[in-house]
Amino acid sequence: MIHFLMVAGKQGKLRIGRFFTHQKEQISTQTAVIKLCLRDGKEEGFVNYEDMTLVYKLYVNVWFIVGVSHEENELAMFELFQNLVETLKTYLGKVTEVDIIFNMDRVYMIIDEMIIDGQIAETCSSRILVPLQLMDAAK
Amino acid sequence: SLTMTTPKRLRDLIREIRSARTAADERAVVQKECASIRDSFRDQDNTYKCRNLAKLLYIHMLGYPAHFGQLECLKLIASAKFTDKRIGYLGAMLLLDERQDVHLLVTNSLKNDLNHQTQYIQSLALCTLGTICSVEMSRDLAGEIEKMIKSSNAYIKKKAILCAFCIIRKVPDLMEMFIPATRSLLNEKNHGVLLTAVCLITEMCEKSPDTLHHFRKVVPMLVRILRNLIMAGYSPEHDVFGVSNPFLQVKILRLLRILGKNDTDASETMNDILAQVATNTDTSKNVGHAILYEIVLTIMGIKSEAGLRVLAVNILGRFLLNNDKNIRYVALNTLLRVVQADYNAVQRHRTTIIDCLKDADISIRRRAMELSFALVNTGNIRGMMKELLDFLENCDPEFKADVCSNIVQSTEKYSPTKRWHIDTVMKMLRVAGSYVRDDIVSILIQLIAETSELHNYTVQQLFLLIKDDIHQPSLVQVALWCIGEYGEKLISGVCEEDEPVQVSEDEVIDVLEKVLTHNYSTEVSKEYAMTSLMKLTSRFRTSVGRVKAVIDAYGGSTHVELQQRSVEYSNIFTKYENMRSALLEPMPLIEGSRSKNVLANSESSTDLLNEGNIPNGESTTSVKAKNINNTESQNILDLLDVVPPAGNSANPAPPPSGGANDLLDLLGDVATISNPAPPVKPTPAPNLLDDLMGGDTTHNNQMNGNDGPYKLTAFDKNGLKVELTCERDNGQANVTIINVKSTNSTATTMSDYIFQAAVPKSFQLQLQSPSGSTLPPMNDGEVTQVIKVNNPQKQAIRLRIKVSYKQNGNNVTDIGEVSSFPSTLWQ
Repeated sequence: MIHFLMVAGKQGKLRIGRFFTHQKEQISTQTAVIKLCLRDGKEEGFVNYEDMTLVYKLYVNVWFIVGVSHEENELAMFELFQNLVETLKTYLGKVTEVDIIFNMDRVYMIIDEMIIDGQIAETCSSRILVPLQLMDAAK
Repeated sequence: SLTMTTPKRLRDLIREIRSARTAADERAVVQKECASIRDSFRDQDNTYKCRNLAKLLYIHMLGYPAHFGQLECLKLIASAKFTDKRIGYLGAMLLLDERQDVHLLVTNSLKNDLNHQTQYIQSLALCTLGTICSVEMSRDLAGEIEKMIKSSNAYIKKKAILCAFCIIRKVPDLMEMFIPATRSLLNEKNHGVLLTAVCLITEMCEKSPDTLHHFRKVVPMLVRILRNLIMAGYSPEHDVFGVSNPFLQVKILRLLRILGKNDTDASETMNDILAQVATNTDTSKNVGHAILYEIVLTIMGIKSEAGLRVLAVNILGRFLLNNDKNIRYVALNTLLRVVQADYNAVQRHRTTIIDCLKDADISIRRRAMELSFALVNTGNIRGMMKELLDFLENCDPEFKADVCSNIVQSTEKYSPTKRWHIDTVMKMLRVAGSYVRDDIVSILIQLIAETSELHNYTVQQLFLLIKDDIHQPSLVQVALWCIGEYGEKLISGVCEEDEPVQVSEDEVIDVLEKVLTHNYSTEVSKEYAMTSLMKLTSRFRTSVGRVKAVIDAYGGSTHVELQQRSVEYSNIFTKYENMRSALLEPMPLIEGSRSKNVLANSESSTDLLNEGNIPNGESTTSVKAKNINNTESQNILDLLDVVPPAGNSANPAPPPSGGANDLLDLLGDVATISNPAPPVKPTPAPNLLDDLMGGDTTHNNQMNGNDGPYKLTAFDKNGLKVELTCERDNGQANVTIINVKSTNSTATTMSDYIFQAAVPKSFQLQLQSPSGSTLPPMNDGEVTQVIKVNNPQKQAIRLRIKVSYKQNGNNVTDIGEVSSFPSTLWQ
């Protein structure tokens, strides 16, 4: 079960924060989690935080962080990050921090297509992007 | 009213906020924008509502309050335009949760949109419901969702399934209504549907054991899906580096794990496919490792066959050699959880694990340390201890206390000789004496006290260690106690092992005085020093005056405990001089089982993947039994000799009341040394009784005078009869010799026969090698064994015996107790 998904810049500023289970004190959780992941200076890894495992990976200068319950396969989470980044790339053309910032609403929508209620629903990028492409066409 | 200027676009706002130099600037921009948005909402301006809400969401993400947007979300959701709805629902998901009152108002819109003609709008509703659903909403809309699961549209289906997932988490009672629709979902081809269906089934099975049982029937279907995935060849939609839909594979594997747990039939169906996926997965990329990891967890979690388990452990062993530290970490973690159950398989990777002790990453080092301790046994303890002491010397301080405690436990369980045990413990103190926990100090003192045959050696070595260096408190305390207690042995110039140390009384007192005066010493160490000095007045001959002077000096100490000791001891010199030597006699052995204290502190890693995999007690104990190599035949063991029967529960049998305390608490999950292992070629044990009595004593049924052999039946059950013939050893007053004879009156052979015995703490037991390990049927032969019981405290002899053998393919174990030994044997 995925509790939350966060995307942050290299210095730790939150760019996307999506919580799938209700967390008390969302803001402080956000800051605490990001600080924890940046602390060790590793580019990817997992660490225990409260009652869940945080899996994080740095793509160039963007951190992808996900908080999962203990039964989840951490190595599979790395694959999830890769999947998400590739989908974003297909949609946005290129994925840089700036692209993510300025297309915040679209990124949220993509995440909503991929993960529902903390479980992975769809991993095929072409299927994920259909509703967004429709919406863009309607505009 | 003034006409509003067109509200900014989202990206303009973002740009503006990013260009703010200080936090105050950013706040100003945000507040201005919030005010403008609020006005716009109030004025019911519909054209730009979308845009405004998007900006509000951004502001919310930055951490500013955005509650005034909640009602706007509702209005947008109710709009007919897709773009409005999209942003409205997104806002609802981000801004609303159960605690808001507005939350319930969404329900109506959700109900309408769930039935919308356009699938994308239906999907919005489903997505939102999956995120924010509450108990009331769940009850309200469950029927709708159940209908949608049966829809023919795969896109809708998969979202509806995850909605159901959310609903049953909130309202478990509603699970029933979804079960029928769920079963047929596994026939779908669409991967998204399969993925979500597996998810839903997993959740159902975790929540309800009945449902779990119901879904066991789908194991063959799952196996088929998995097989198709790996055989199918390249499918561009879901391929990741050559692996077809790893997400689906992982999810299926996890469901298989849940379904196969504790169920042999289901597990059997899975064996093949697990082996197949394990061997076919390409491990050049992380994705392959992810799948292998899940497979390993599954194999360990179900009742798989032994070969598969070995395969899993070997996969983990390969992980350990991988360059990627995450994979190494994952492997160590999992090995730690399975080491109890698959002890032998994990042992094969011991060298790799020891190498991980030197890994660069601290969490890997910690896991490797815990795993190493789990793997220590009598066979490898010398080598392992060497590595672990090296590790102790160089590791981070935060580990040292744990490592020390673990070393104490391991040496307690597996030391080959007393001398080695003491040496290792002293080495540990020398290397990490500052980090040893306080309870370990008392345990070590007890250990030394009990090893009376090495007192000279121990106290001399300890003195050498602290002579020049007193900055490690635990080491100092242990040494001080020993010096005080065994002072006369220290200066005796005699040693059981090695070269004796030559030291004078004055030198010893110098060191003790140094401890008292030095800044480094802790208060506790000084207290030890004071008491030890006092004891030395009765151990040493010429130093009473000097000691008295030193002790008196602390009569005015500002530390209360020291002052009290000083004053009281001084009083002994003045008022109670006649009692002094009696007061300072050597201390008796400390009551209470040291082993129990040591081992009670141990946390054996019992998490066998949260599963009910009962450790294979038989295999581990037989391995340990065979590893004993009792080269020192006169080794009198203090430790408990009896292995707890594998079938028993973890609760030890209640200790019988009476004088001798703790007669064998059968420590639940600790396998201790069984002594001795039956040799391959049995050598006949010397029958001492024959020599002494000059004849066959087995027919002697009664007590024959004070020292004659006394015969009794210790055990007679299921055709196995064990008879004991006991008499005192004429050479040593406290030793009783018991000749054990076992016979088999059944019609089939009893093989692998092992006889074990244990005695209360104050006794010492020595078992000599048995004459054999096979009991032929119909009393056609016997197995004899000699036991010597040393009873220095002249207490009533009690014996607990355990027999184990194989008969007709079954392993049989049994225990019995003998306490009816006549008093003439020991008084």
